[in-house]
Amino acid sequence: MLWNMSSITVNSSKFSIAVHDYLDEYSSDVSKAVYVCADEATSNAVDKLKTAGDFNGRKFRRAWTRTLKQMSWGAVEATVHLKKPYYRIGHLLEFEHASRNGGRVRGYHFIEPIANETEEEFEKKLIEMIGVKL
Amino acid sequence: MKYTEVKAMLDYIKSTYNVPYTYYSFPEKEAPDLPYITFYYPSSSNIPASDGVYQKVEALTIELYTENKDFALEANIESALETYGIVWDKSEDYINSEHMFMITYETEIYIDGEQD
Repeated sequence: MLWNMSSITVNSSKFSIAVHDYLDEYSSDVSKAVYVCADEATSNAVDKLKTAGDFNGRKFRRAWTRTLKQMSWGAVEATVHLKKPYYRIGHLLEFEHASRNGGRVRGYHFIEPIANETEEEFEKKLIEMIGVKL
Repeated sequence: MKYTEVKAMLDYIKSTYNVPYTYYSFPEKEAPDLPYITFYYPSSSNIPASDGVYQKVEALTIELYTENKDFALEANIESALETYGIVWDKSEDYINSEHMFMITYETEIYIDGEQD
């Protein structure tokens, strides 16, 4: 758990300030926890994606990476993506497409399951860290 | 919306812009020259009721394949989608192995009535 509730005594005239300060601290701690969990979950996702799918493509696999941005209002933007010029190939490998002369080339559907696992992993880690179910 | 209305829209695109279409894929070695369209319903996200399905909701994927980037044709197809009340998102890929562009329109449609 990230923090413990500690008991404090405040004068009634300063009660609102104390609540405000506590919520500020809580908000900051949650924001840090979200970042840590997103960092771990996306790192694991990248590792999984580098070996997922039964196709060849060593350079393609190495192109998986992630970007984390801490927003000023406390949110975290975490993106798992392919580096240029491989980002288009990822979409084509995931989803099927037509062949020019007929028939279709199959998709490998290897990204979606990992995306779902990553979301679940992130949520589980965050609940463990902040100690409450959101 | 009915499946027949989706077909009517594709018929309109075919007759107006000379873009043939098929469900899912043309038979191997029998595809027409580009551009052409494939469409399919890859999944559903129905709204349930206590005794079954309250509303059928089908994902609809329409893929436009072209030799080169064709802004005008895409605009015409998007206009047709809007005329038929279809709200869409699209993505674009260039398929190196096939030397063609694929524009994917993804949408969901509420199916009214039976299979027609």
